[in-house]
Amino acid sequence: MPCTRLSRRTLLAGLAAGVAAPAVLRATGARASDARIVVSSNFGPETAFQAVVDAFNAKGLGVAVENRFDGNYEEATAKTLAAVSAGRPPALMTTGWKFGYYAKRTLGARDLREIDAARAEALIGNFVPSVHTLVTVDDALIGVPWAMSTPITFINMEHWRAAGLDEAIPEEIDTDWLYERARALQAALGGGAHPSFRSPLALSNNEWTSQSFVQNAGGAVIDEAGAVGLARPESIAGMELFCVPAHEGLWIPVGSREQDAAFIAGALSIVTTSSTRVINYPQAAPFEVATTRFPGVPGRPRRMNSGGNFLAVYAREAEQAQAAMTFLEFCGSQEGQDLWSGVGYLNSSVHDVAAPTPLIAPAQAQLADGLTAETIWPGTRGFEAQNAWRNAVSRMLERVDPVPVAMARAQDEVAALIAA
Amino acid sequence: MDAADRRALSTAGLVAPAVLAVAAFLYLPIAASGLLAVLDYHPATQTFRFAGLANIAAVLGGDAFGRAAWNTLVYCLVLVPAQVLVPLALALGLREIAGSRTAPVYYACLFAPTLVSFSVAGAVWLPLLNPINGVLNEMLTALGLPPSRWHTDARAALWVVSLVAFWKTFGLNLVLWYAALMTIPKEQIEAARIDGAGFFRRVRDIDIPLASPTAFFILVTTVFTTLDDIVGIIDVLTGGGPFERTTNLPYLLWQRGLVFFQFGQASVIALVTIAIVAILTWVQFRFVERRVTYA
Amino acid sequence: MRDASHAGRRAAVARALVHVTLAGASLATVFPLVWMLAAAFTPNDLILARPFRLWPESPTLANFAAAADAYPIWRWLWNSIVAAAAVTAGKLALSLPAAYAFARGRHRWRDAAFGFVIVTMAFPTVMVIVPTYLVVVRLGALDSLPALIVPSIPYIGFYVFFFRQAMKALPSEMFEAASIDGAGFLRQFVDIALPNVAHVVPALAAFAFLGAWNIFLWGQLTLGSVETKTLTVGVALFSDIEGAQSLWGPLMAVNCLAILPVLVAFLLARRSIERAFASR
Repeated sequence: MPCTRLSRRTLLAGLAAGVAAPAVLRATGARASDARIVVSSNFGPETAFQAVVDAFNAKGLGVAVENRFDGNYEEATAKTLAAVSAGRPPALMTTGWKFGYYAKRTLGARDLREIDAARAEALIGNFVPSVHTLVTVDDALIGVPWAMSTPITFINMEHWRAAGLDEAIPEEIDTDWLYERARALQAALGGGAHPSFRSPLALSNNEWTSQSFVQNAGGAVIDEAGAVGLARPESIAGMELFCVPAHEGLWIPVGSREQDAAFIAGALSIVTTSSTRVINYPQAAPFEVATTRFPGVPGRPRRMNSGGNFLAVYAREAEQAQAAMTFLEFCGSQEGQDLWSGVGYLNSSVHDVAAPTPLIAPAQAQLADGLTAETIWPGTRGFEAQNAWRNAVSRMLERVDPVPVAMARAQDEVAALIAA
Repeated sequence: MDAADRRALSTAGLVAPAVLAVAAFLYLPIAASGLLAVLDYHPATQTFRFAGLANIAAVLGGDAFGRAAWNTLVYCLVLVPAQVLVPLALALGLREIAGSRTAPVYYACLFAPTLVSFSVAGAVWLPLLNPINGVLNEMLTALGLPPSRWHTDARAALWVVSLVAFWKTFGLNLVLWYAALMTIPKEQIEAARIDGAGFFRRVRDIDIPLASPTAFFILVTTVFTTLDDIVGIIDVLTGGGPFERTTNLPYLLWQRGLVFFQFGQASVIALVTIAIVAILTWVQFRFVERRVTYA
Repeated sequence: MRDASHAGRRAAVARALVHVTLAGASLATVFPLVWMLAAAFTPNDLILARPFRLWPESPTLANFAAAADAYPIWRWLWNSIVAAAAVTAGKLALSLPAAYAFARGRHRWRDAAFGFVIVTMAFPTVMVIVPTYLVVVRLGALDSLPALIVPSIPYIGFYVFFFRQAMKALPSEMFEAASIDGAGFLRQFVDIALPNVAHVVPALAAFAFLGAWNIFLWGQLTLGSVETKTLTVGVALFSDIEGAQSLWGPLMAVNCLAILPVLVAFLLARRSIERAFASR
C-alpha cells in the first residue's frame, strides 16, 4: 500500500510539473515588472515575424510580447472580435488591409495619435508617404503599414527549359504572352511527356488576383469614390480574360494550399500569387524558380493592387497601449525592418533594407510603378461582400454563368452588402 | 414524511442535475435564438437593436438558404440509407466469416476512420484529393482513367463531401450492427436455412426483426448525425463552396453566425433547423417505431 | 452425397467472395490512414516529391521532433486527455443517477422530465452554438479548457436513454430483495443498479471520450492561445497561409498522435461495446 500511495503522489507531482512547465518556459527572459502584450498574428513560430518578436523581447525594454498565431485574416479577425466583446482584446493584431474599415468601425482599432501623438508621428515617419493613406481610416491613423505584398508571376524554370521556351523572361508580360507560353508548356509537357508536370498555369482563385485583372483592364471592384464597378465593360473584359485559361483547360482552379503544394511538387509550371512566396517557394522547391511581373492586359496600362496587413492596436488600457507603441517602434526601426524582410514583404519603410532574395525584384518594380490598395470592404456586412465576390469569381471560372451575367449579379449583391 | 414522499424527493434529486444542465445549456440557448432572430446585435459594442423581420428577410431572400436547404435534403437522402445499409451488409459479411483469422483485421480497418477527428480527416483527405497532383488523381491516371477535380468541381463537390463523411462515420453503425447480429441465436438461422430460406430471406425474416431495436436506434441516430457531423467535413474540405454548392443548414448557420457575425441571421437558421429536426423525429417515432419488436 | 459436396463447394465460394469483398472494403477504408502513417515517418522534404507511398522512405522520427519544436504538442495531448476525461466523467455523473431515477423512481413529473431530456438527442450541436458562444464571451471564459468542457457535457440524451433501458431490464426482484433488507432508494442505486450496469459503462464512456476528443468547431472558437489548445484543434495551426509553409510531415505526425489515445480507449472497451449493443 505505501508503495502505491508513493507512486500516485509521484504521478501527481509529475502531472503538476507537466502543467506548470510551459508557463515556466514562457516566463524565462521576461521580468515580473514587464508589461505583457499579445499580438494576434498570421505568422507561426518558424517565421521571420517570430524573429522580430524574439529580438524585441531580448532587448529588455520592459515589454514582453507574445506572438499568437490565429490563422488567416478572416480567422484572426473573428477571434479578435470575440476577444473585443469579452473585453480582453489582443494589444495588437496583424490586420488585413482588406479589413481596414472593419478594424476601425467594428473592432475599434485605436487611433495611434490619440494614444501618443508625438510617438505616432515619429512612428509613421519610418514609412514612405504613399502607404500612409492605407492606414488612415476616418481620419485616424490606425496602424503601422509594414506588410505590403502584390501578386507576381512565379515560373518553374525546369519545365520552361524542358518545353524549349526562351529562358530570358521579359520584365513586363501580358496575358497574350503568358497564355501562349501556357499552351506551349501544355503541348510540350502534357500527356505524360514530363514526369511531374500536371498543369501549366494557376492564376489563384480568390478575390485578389481577380481584382488585379479587373483593374489592369481599366475596371474597378470598388472605385476610389466607393462605388461598385463590377458591371462596367472594362471590369467584365478583365474577368473574361481571367477566365480564358480555366475555360481552355490550362488552369485547374483550386485553393491556395493545394496550389502551393502542386507548384512546390513540380506539377505546375506558372503560378500568379502573393509576392511573399519568394521566400518559401525557392526553399521548398527542388528546381529553379524565376519571377516576373503580374501579367498585364494587352493595350492597357497596368494598374496593380497591393495586399498584406498592418499592425493595429486594440488595447483599451493605457499601459497596454503604450507597451504596444514600444513594440511598434521596434517594428518600424531599421533593425526590426531588417529582420521583418525575411517574411517576404515589400519594403514600405524609409530604411535601406536589403532584399531578402533577388526574386522579389518584380514586386519592387510593381511598387515603383504605383500600387492601389486591395479592396477594402466597407459596411457591417463587409465580410459577406467579400464572400459574394469570391463566389462570383468561382462561378465565372466554373462557367455556371456567362461572365457579363455573373458580373451584373455580383454588382447587385456586393452593392447591397456594402450599403448595409 | 412517508416512504413514497421520500422516494419522490429522491427521484427529483437524482434527476435535477440532468434536467437543469439540459435546460440551461440546450433549451435556453434555443430560446435565446428566438430572441436573437428579431434583434440586430453588435458584439463589439454590445448594443442591441430591434430588427423586426429583417433577419428573416435576409436569410430567406438569399440564394444560399435555398441551396443549403436543398443540400440538407440531398445529404440525408444519400447518406442515411448508405450509413444504415452498407454497414449492415459489412456486418453480415463479418458474421459469415466470424472466427476466421482475418475477421478482426477487417473489423479494425473498417472502424479505424471513425476514430479520426474532422481536422485530421481534412488534413489527410485534402492532399489525396488535390485536383492537380493529388494521390487519387495519380492513381486514376495510372489506370488510364480521366482525373477528377473532386471537391473543387461544382458538380462533384457534394458527392466528395458525402463520401468523406461516409468514410468517417460508417464504422460506428458497423459496430452496432455487428454487436446485434452476433447475439442472434445460430440455431434459429440454421433452422431457417434447412427450411430452404435463402440469404436475403433469412436477413429479412430473422436478423432484422430480432435486431429491430438496434435497427431503430441506428436509423434515428444516423439522421441526427448526418445533419450534424457533416458540418465538420464541410468546414475542413470546402468551406461550403464552390459557391455554396456543398453547404447545408447547420453549416450555413455556423458561417452566418461565427464567420460573418450575423447572429440574428444565424438564429433564424437555427429555428428553421430545429423545426425540420422536430418533424423528422416525429415521423420516425410515429411511423417506424411501430414496426420495432422489443424482445 | 453429391448434393452435400455441391452445397459445401457453394458455401466455400460464398465465403471466398465475402473475404474478397471485406478485404477490398478494408483496404479502401484504411488507405488514407496508411498514407498518413507513411507520411508521418517520411522526411518532410520527400513527402511532396512523390505523393504516393504506403511505406515511409528513409523512416524517421524527425517529424515528431519538428512538430514538438514548432508547437507544444505534448501540452496539447495533455489538454485533450483532460478535456475528454472531464466531459466523459461529467456525462456519466449526470446520466447514471438520472437514468436510475427515470427507471425506478416515482414522481408525477418523471416521464415528462424523461422526454424533456431525451429529446435533446435530436439537437444539432451547432444550433445552440451562437448563444452559448456569446455567453462564454461575456463571461470572459474564452481561451480556457472549462469553456470547451462545460458546454459539451449536457449532450446526455442518448446516455440517459441507454442507461435507463439497461436499468429497466434488471429484474425488479433484485431491488425488492434489497428493499426488504432495509436498503433505501438511494442505497439500491449504489448497491444494485450501478454494479449491474457496470459492464456497459465502459462502452458508453468510450463513445463519450471519442466525441469529446474530437470536438473541433467549438474548440476552434473557444481555444485561442497556443497553450490551451487540444490536439484536434491545434492541428489547424500547421497551415500557415501567408508563408505557404509546407509542414506536411509534422502535421501527419500530430495526426497520428491524435488518433492513438482513442484507439487505445476503444480497444479497452471493445468487449463492453459488444455487450452493450447486443440484441437483447
